Amino acid sequence: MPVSAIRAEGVSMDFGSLRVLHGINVDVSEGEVVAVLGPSGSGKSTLLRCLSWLTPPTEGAVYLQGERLGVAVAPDGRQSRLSAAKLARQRSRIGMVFQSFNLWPHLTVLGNITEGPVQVLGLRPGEARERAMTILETVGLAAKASAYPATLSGGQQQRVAIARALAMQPELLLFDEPTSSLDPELVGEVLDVIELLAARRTTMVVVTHEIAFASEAATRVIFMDGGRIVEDTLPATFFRDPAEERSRRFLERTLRRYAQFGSHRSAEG
Amino acid sequence: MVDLAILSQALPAIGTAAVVTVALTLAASLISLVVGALSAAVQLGGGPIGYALSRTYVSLMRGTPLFVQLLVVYYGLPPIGIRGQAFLAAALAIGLNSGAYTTEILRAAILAVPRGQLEAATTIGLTWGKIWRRIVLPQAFVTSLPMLTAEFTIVLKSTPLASVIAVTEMTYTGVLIQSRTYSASEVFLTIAVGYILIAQVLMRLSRSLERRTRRLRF
Ligand SMILES: Nc1ncnc2c1ncn2[C@@H]1O[C@H](COP(=O)(O)OP(=O)(O)O)[C@@H](O)[C@H]1O
Ligand SMILES: [Mg+2]
Repeated sequence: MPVSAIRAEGVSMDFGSLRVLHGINVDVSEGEVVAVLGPSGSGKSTLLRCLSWLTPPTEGAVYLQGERLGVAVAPDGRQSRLSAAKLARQRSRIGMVFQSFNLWPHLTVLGNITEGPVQVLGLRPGEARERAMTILETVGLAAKASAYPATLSGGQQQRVAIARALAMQPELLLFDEPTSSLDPELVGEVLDVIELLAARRTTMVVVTHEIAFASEAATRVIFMDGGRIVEDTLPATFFRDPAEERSRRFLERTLRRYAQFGSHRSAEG
Repeated sequence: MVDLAILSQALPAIGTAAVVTVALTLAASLISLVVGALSAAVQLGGGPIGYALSRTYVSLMRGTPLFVQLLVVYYGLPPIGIRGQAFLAAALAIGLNSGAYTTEILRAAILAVPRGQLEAATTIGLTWGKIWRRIVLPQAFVTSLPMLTAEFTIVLKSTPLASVIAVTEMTYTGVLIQSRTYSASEVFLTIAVGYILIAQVLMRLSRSLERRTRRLRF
């Protein structure tokens, strides 16, 4: 039986009186690469933020390797809020990459990557630097170690953000539209890194509009609409024969846009 | 008009007093910075109680004259066992007063740090305190450097108030010399130049700091 990396049980999220997630159940096993698709406003970002406990859901539970996030459960079953320190430690086990990179501009590339390992994991600065350099090689940015984020292109910044997440050696990575704010010619270099991670069987949940990526690199596709998971299936099934009318319409729209602007990959090669 | 003999006699005393003025400015500015950073942090991240505490502090300091605050601190220290510490009282009073303005300066600069950076820090597993110390405050400090310099120049110009509790800073020393020599224009013009020089040094320092942190600007 596959080991569950992250599991959401009945996760609902309200903003005021607006319910944007409706009792989401999802279970991601180790080594899976899940592409999350869906129209804008369907709750994809909110789901990722709940999964990482960045914004705790209004209802429901999330389990990281079977361990309840954000909630301490006493032997007698009583629940209380987890201490801030323990919650921070849990969060450090889940890597998150944002659409807008969110690098810390006052730190160098190396500083961005070693911050967590030193401050959270307690690595010695030398160890952390070594780890960071290895990862920078992987994302192809070793030469930029001492650069400041503002001097990098969007694609480079996003690769640093991925490196920063990887340096924590997280149990899984969550990506929220990692290429959506990039110029088209920079999308490929970021997808290449994510695909490399996929090939290494890194557990990932990737919210994306990149259909090619979803169909080629993902092992599973989740389609969301209106705060619900409408389809949860294999990429081949989803792209060839979506079960739901809503997914069909979404695919048609997206593919039409795709035909118009082309795949970033084909533009590149 | 200007009596150079009197002036040359007075200069050593004014020089010594200038050191006191500089020390008082530095001490008060340091207090202002530390208290302002704490107050801004508590206001923005300390829940409703922290918010109320910080707002109360700011409005108390801004709503009463510094002159009165100085007297309150000076006469408030002996009952808690601190006697004859006019310099300490002045540094505390001026520093606490300025801290209210530093709170507002840092608050604005802190709010200018994009939320996403804090979320990234949260997902990395940094705790609240470390996010403040290592991500928010360094950036807030850089962006608010020009405003802080202006504030510390005001601190410098507030130091003459310390003469009311007999701190021998420049202005008080000038008054003492003038009462002995009756040569007001020589003494007070010299002192005015002294303040300008100190302010210049302060601004130069700040500008070189700004230059050195420019690469961190975004
Ligand atoms: N902080 C918030 N406050 C209020 N409403 C929000 C907030 N964040 C998201 N929403 C709403 O929740 C819904 C889902 O948003 P989101 O998860 O960002 O969708 P997606 O990422 O799929 O585009 C939208 O209707 C959005 O307006
Ligand atoms: Mg989104």
